[in-house]
Amino acid sequence: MKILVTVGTTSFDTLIQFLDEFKSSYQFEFIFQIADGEYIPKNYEYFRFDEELWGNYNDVFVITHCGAGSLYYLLENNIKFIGVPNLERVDQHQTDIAEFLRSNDLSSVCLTFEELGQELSVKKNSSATYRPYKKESFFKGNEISHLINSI
Amino acid sequence: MSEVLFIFGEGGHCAQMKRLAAELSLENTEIVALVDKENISAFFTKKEYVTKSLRSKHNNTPLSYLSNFNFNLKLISRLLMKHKFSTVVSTGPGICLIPSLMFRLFGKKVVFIETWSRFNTKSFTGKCMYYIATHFYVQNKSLLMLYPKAIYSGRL
Repeated sequence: MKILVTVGTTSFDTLIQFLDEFKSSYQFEFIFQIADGEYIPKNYEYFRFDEELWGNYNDVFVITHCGAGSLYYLLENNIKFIGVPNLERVDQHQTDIAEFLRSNDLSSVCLTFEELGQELSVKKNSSATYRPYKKESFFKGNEISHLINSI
Repeated sequence: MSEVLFIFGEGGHCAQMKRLAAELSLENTEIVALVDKENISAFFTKKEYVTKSLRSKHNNTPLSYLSNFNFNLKLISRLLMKHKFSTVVSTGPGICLIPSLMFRLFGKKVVFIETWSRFNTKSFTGKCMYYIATHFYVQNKSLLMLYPKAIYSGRL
């Protein structure tokens, strides 16, 4: 099973190292996007950034940090993923959106690597389904345009 | 033609600004961007200034904070002298705080959109911008409990 692991613009070394060293009876093939991380994967391919990330990897399962830009893209495009909040950051804001995902049953979320290991162990036989993502789209464009254009 | 300063950072802040820009009528607007990473505003302007982030995502020291604060203050002062902005628009992060405060003191409109990743907690930048911005928007309805005077905008 091919899995893209993405951390966005902020490194998440402990996640990359955990998965790089993850042992399972099932064969996973990870591809790591590591940003400016210091941990260099030893067992799988990696790259730091890719501006065309989603265009190049649109047919794989994803393990992602809980940065909102990545999460909303995945939800809007019905791409299956496991979200792992990056708690290495100084600000812990990824737990907020992780809780939103979990409480609305939008995706699998793992708050710890232990949970992630368990989730991956059952992944092969998993038939979990989640609710489709729906949002009230932004509707203040005209109002802000008016603000900008009125001097 | 009005001159508008758009302030945003890399990652999700940039993703939100891209989506916001697609919702705005900017034909008669001179766009200037203040960002925290080179070339991230190339999708809508060539007039880009790069500031330094006040808070590292991994660690913070008082010295780095003060040094970056000083650099940013000088950069913003130059911006204020060079351009005649009518409005500042920001999707965060904290690099918007000093310029927003300065521009507000000069009587300019300050539009801030709280990050789409917050549902039950305030961002540090949002906490401050709630009092600085003339127009403060939230993308998630649950935040109206925390920011009662905010304007709900729907999600980018």
